[in-house]
Formats: sequence, structure tokens, C-alpha cells
Amino acid sequence: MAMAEAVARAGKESFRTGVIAVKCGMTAIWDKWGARVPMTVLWVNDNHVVQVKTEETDGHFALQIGAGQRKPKQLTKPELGHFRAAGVPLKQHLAEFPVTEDALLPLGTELSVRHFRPGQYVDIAGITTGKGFQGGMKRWGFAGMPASHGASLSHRSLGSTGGRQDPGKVFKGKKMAGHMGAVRRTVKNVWIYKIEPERDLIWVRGQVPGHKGNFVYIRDAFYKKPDFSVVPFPTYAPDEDDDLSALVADFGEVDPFLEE
Amino acid sequence: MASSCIRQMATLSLSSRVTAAPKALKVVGLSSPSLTPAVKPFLKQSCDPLNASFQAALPLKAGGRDKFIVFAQAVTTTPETEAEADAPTVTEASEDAPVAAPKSKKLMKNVKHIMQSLQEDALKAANEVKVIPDIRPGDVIQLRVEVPENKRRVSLLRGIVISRHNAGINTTFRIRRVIAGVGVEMVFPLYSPNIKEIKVVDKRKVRRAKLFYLRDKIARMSSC
Repeated sequence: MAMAEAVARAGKESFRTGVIAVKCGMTAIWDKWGARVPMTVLWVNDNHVVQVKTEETDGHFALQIGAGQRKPKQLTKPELGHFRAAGVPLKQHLAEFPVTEDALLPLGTELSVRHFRPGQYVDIAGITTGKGFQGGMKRWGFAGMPASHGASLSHRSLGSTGGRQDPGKVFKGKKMAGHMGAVRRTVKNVWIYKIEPERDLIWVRGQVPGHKGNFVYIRDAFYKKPDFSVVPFPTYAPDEDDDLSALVADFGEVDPFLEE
Repeated sequence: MASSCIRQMATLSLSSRVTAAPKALKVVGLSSPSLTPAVKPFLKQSCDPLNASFQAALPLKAGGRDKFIVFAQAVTTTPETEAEADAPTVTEASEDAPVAAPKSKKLMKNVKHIMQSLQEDALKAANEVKVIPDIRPGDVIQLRVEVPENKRRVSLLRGIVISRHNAGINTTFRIRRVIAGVGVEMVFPLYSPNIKEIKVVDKRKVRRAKLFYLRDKIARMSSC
């Protein structure tokens, strides 16, 4: 198969595709040293490659991945045609991941959780929880003003917004109250603890942007690149007799409590 | 009177034959313009009350009938009518529709189910390792706790359970004790591997789930 040939062709500059997952919720586990580790559970729900973008056709190399399920009546005719052209089931969410040319995958390839390995670092992007219109203290971390000692009607206000006649204006980008949240943010260098191929789950340490049910985009960490001799490149090639048991990362050999 | 007439109409539509005259269904005082013209086409089908299946308004296919009937009526499922109803939809699916999606639940329902099953798995695994006694508010318990920060020494702690917060694997309980004249409260996760042993020493009769009132009482109530 073409994908079997593509495996282990990775160079130093190669960048693989990412994966779309659903944030299921948070929990916590005890590691082998007895410390409490917060965990986020991410569910990789039916990811397929829906479109392959190349330099000749679109000007850059990218893969459009689809996730989830959808009924035909919930999609418009152009959207139905888009999925029909790829020959994939109908998807709820589409996202594009820029890749290098050697990491392109054929149309309709299924991406599973085994695309990643426990112990790897990833960047997770998602739309953060919306907070609405918020003041300067919450939005920008301003200190506010004293609660007493004569401060009149301005305990949480911004204070001064600039000079006087020079410059005679408020600079653009002045931090002020406004809409907060509901923007795309990336959490970097998140450590993968556990991968469950049977239930399509990835456990990561720490927090991930957004609320439960949010679609998040998991990609290899940019500043802690994975080792492609361990991590499958360009993606995991499934086999008939695959071991579907969970893979768990090790927390290290040094007891963090006993070191002085 | 109107309600009894409606019931009469309903029973008539279930068991009526072709000869059942629309005249019988004309009721004085019930103005429903869609009723009389709509009844006629339906009555042309032979009605079998035992196999009558209620279907929502279906546009009738055969016979060039293009009236869209708005209210629900008993429609029989004879082989001919079923074939007529099924045939057009099947051809549509093969020509235009893309790969059909498998039946799936709503996203949040799946998400909640995943978290719930993970909690159940964690509880099952924890119960296999260690037997955790049932701890209730009012129990005086004795704990052997390994403190990782204190060079892993096992300390013996004692106190009255003043609250239990249930959250699956993250269930916690609080114990209170007066030590050297100072009231001390400690919170522990029930399934923590650092708790080596829990022993229930005494049970006090309490009439609350949370015994936070002990904070305002004299020290003797919290000492054990």
C-alpha cells in the first residue's frame, strides 16, 4: 500500500497531520509516586481525510480532516457533494492541517488515536469558553483601585488611558473592557499520558481550551518535535491483528518527593 | 357534543368501509373545511382495524392524487400501498445521496457516556486493589496515611467524619479533630493510594449529612 511505503520517509523538517478530537471532560489520576495528576479526556471521533490540498491545485500542502457524524438532511447539497467526492461518510466538523509534502495522505484515510504515542508532546488548539463582556480586571489582569480610603465609584475601573496634550489621543490597542473568550487558542507542549484504541480516547495531562463537547485540534508539538522512529509517520497504518489494549506512558524513575 | 362527534369520526375512520357514507361524518357546528374533501380519498383504501398503523401526513403517490392531507389518519399497510410508498425513496437514495451515515447519538450524549464509563472503570479497578469501608458522617475513623512530602512516613490520624462528597473516583471526606486545643480539619480522597488503611472506630448518631455545626460547638464535641 502507498501508505506502507510512505512510512519512515520522514526528514528533519517533516510535519505530520493533526487530528480532530472532542473534549469529553476532566478527571484526575494518581501517578505511581502518589501525586495527583489532572487529566483531560479527548475522544477522536471517526477522523477521515476529506480533501488533499497540494501546491499545484491550492498553493500549499494541507489535509482537510473531517470528524464526527451527520445525517444527510442536516447538510446542504454543496456539502453533501463535497463528502461524496471524497467517498467518506458525512462529517460534522472539518478542519485543515498544513503538512509537508512527504506527510500527505490519500483521500479517505482513517486517522486513529494511534497516530500519537504516549509520552509525546502535542499542541492542542480549540475555541475557548466564552466569558462575554468583561472588565479590565478579569480580561487583562488590571489591579483595580482601593476598596476604601476615599476611592469614589471606581474600584474596578481602568484608571488612566494615556497622557495629556501629548500625545493627545488614546493609542490603538489600549487594553480596555470588552468581549472575552470564544477565540481560538493553543495550549502548547501538552503531555500525552494514555491512548485507548478500543474506545478512541487520548488522555492528556492538564487543561485544554473550551468546554465539554468542544472540537479541539491536536498536532505534534512545535517546540518539542516527536521522534519519527517511534511515532508513526505519516500516520498509523492499521493491521488486522492489532493489539487494541491501552498504551500508557511512564511517569519516570525518579521519585519527585524524595529528591532533596 | 363536539368531542363525542370527534370520537365517532375516529372510530368510523378506523373501521369504515368504502360504503361508509361521508354523510355520517357531517356534523353540525364543526367547521373544518379540510375534513370532508380529505376523508374521501382515504376511504377508498380497504380498512383493516387490526393492522391500522397511524402515520403522519403522507403525500399519496399513486393514482395521480396530489392532495396533501394535513391531519393524521389511520392508514392501512396493504402490500400495494407499501410498495408505492417505498419505491420512490429507494431510487432517490441510490442516485443522489452520498454514503449513508450510520445511526449515531447526539455528541454530548456520547461524551457524557464516555466520562461515566471511565468513572465506573476507575472505581472497579480501585475496589479490586483495596477494600474501602463505607464511611458516613458521624463515624469516628482512624487512618494510616503515607505522606509523600514527609519522606513517606506513615502517620496515624484520627477524627470524626464531618462530610462526604461523592464524585466517583474523586470522592472525598473530611475529618475533624481537636489536637492540642486547636480544631484541625483534614480532607482526603477516599480512593487515594496514599491512604494505607481506614478503620471505623466508633459511630455517632447524627441527623445531618454535613456536620459543619461542630465548628461552632465546644471542643469536646469534636475530640475523639
